[in-house]
Amino acid sequence: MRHLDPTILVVVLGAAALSFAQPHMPGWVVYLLQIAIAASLPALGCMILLRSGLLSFGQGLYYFIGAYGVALVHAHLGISDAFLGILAGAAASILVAGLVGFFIARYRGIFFAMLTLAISMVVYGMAVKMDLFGRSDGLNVPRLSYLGFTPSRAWAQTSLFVFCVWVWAVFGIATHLYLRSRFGKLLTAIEDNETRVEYLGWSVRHAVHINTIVAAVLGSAGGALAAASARYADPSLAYWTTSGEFVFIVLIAGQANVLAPLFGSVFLETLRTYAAAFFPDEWQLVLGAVMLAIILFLPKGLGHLFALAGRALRPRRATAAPIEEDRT
Amino acid sequence: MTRSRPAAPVLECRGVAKSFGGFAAANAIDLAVSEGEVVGVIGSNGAGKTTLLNIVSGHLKPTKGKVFFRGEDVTGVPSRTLARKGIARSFQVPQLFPTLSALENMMLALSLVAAPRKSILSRFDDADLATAARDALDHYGIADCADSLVSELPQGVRKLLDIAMATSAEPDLVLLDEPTSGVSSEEKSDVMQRLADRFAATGTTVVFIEHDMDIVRRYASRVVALTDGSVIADGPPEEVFAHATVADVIVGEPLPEGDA
Amino acid sequence: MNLALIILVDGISYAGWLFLVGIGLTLVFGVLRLVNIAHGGFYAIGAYVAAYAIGAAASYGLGAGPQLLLAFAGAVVVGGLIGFLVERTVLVRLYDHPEVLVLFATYALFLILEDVTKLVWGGASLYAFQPRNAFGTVAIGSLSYPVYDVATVVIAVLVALGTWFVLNRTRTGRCVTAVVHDREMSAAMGVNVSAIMTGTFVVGSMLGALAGAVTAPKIAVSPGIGVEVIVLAFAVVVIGGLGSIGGAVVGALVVGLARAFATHLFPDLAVFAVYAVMAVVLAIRPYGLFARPVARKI
Ligand SMILES: Nc1ncnc2c1ncn2[C@@H]1O[C@H](COP(=O)(O)OP(=O)(O)OP(=O)(O)O)[C@@H](O)[C@H]1O
Ligand SMILES: [Mg+2]
Repeated sequence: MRHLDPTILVVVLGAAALSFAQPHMPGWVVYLLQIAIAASLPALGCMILLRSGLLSFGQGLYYFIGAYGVALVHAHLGISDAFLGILAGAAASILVAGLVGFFIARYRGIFFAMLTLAISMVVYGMAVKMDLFGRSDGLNVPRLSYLGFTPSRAWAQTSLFVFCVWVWAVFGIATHLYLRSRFGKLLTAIEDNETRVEYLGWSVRHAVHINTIVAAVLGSAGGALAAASARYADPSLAYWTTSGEFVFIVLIAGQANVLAPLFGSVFLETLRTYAAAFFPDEWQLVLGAVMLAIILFLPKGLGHLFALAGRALRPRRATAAPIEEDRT
Repeated sequence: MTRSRPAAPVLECRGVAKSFGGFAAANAIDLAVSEGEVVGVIGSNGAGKTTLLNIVSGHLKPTKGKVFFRGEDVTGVPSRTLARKGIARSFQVPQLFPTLSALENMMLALSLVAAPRKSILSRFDDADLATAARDALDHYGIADCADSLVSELPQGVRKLLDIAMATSAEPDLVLLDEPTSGVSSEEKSDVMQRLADRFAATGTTVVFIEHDMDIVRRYASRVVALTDGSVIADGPPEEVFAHATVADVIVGEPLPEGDA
Repeated sequence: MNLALIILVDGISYAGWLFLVGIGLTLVFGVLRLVNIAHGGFYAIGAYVAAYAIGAAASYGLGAGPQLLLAFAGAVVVGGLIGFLVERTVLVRLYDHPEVLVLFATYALFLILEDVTKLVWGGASLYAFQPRNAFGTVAIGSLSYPVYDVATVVIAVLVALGTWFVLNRTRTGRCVTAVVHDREMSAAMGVNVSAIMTGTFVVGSMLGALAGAVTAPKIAVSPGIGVEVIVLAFAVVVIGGLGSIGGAVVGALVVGLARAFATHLFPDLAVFAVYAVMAVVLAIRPYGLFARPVARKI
């Protein structure tokens, strides 16, 4: 390791700081952060798919699977271990995304978006009718234990929060390493020119397939955290508007860095909290209006503001050819 | 057939045909290219030259006929597999990654086709990879543009970058689609000389499509002339250029009366 | 024998509805190259306007015919107006944006339209069954079938014929076809592309609203009806091939019959029938029955 990657440093320090700050934060902030952390993982999945120009309107499916991983492992096996719950969801979503990927990996653009949406809606339609998933009411999720350690009632909240934070840290860092690898660059290259990628000896379809599986695992991890935080899992997690919120998160935060979806998610949850206070019945209206405003005026997302600020502060690189500001 | 005889040509097309919804872009093309040959493919616009490369490099499946690479039947094998088997191909319209810099394009080429598959998870942003890429660009004289975005490069540089990326993996067979089009006329022979030197040094077999007949005369050891998807002449340059139809239709300078 | 008839009649009736729902979506895609998720919003608005108009007309003592006429006209006018506003204020600024952003913008519009409908009409369901009941039933073979449902199919056929006529037999229609074929070329030939695009979006919105209005007397008009419809409509037009009118007809028939078949023979699978058909069709023809992908020249 030559020098420490700033993103990894920020994630580790941030996670440590949050872990220690938890007892001093008001309950609603803790809850808001937990939900934001959970939702940012499927959003991260959307982000890595977007690297190849693929917009998924169906990440909710894996959010759903992750949540039910925790709920079903408890309901049927009596296991309330957090790690096993996450693993169960991850295994199931690898399976599902592995199968679904054969079908959708060849589609692009609108087709990819609408097919992912359709698939998650099929699962939603199935789940609301099946007792296994508790029909439209969903299932309850127990208080979790962690590798045999069951925190006392007083510490349950803290334990869960710390768990969420570090699960995010692990997945965030893993995704960061994934994106900065050669495969990560290949994913970006796919959007630019698939023909060239194929002529460079790599199957675009396999790469997309693998990426949908990785995105699915991220989504399911988020779902497990969401279910553990809300203490229940219900089919609406697979509903397309849930998936829409994940894309919204990426849209507002941009896709420059794995931390972007986390900021986007915190922004969304904060917005939701305030909207609930001031416009209790017009949440979709608020969401839609904010989205439209960002698309119209800041098409690269709020995160782009940071990037622009950073570029303004950083001294220009002394290279032979000037770097254009605008890459599109 | 996977058993390869020692004398099998590097590339062989047997009766290769391609039609696009009834329109025949290639008709029963027979072509065998041996080790170390430099074959120039000529033909007017729409003669089917690119189509032939598309088929040979695995981008298109032929409607009829078979393609062999070193004696192995590779008909319908996708381009990604052929790329790994050693068939490299440049494009008439450069196929690049426009949102990346020239250096990143080259780095990506080196880390994909020219590296073992398992290295795919190692870091992209790597000093050794960058150095190797810079060297590869330097080889084609475009290292100055390394840090520019591809979308801002002049056509000639793109063309060279496209060739540099295609040939990054020491291929056995190189297919070049109009390597000098878009390159300024002063640089044309420079570019071609560089390519010829490089492939002569490694004994690489080359098939190149070219509209500039001077370049073809100078660099091809053999010329194949296509018209309406069929081979009308195939042989040493002098012979093919002496062919009446070639001179008339492709070169555009009909032979003097009685000279055929 | 009777079952076969039931399946056939049900299937065709459902297909008529599906076509009405899908035609606007496919038309807009053909000309504007965007999948308009807000189409579901126009459908919902149409249904609400219609239910409201039927209620209002009934309270003035008008008969079933005038009730429906008012309902359809009201839905089409309101849908068209909103469509015009949306295209002129939002979409027109986005045509040179990446596909993904435009798709998302229509999603945002859909969310806004949904809540606006809820704000205007409240969260409770509206019922407008009177006209459908008033028309009674008709005997088809041994079946007795609601006249209104047969009329739905007739409306669908009329809309299909009308669309075909406008596209193939009028000057404007030929301009639209030209824009679908090649936008730049049509612009170069003097076609007012931006007017065609606005016009198509308005017509697409009207058709979406009309589909909602036609459906209103058959359902409880309540929040959320637009969502299901957009997914279904997408399935239908994707099976036929996005942007193809003939494809929408065939897609609607295929899905309609498949669903009727499943409903009567394998009721548990009815939900999946649509998606199963879509998956099979796309597995064989990745871009639908009547669309072919344009190969990129290299
Ligand atoms: N994917 C395709 N679909 C339909 N027709 C095609 C396709 N590719 C090529 N053609 C047609 O096949 C014919 C041969 O095309 P090709 O590109 O091989 O010509 P070429 O000899 O390379 O010409 P040029 O010198 O202009 O590059 C042309 O008429 C072209 O329009
Ligand atoms: Mg060509």
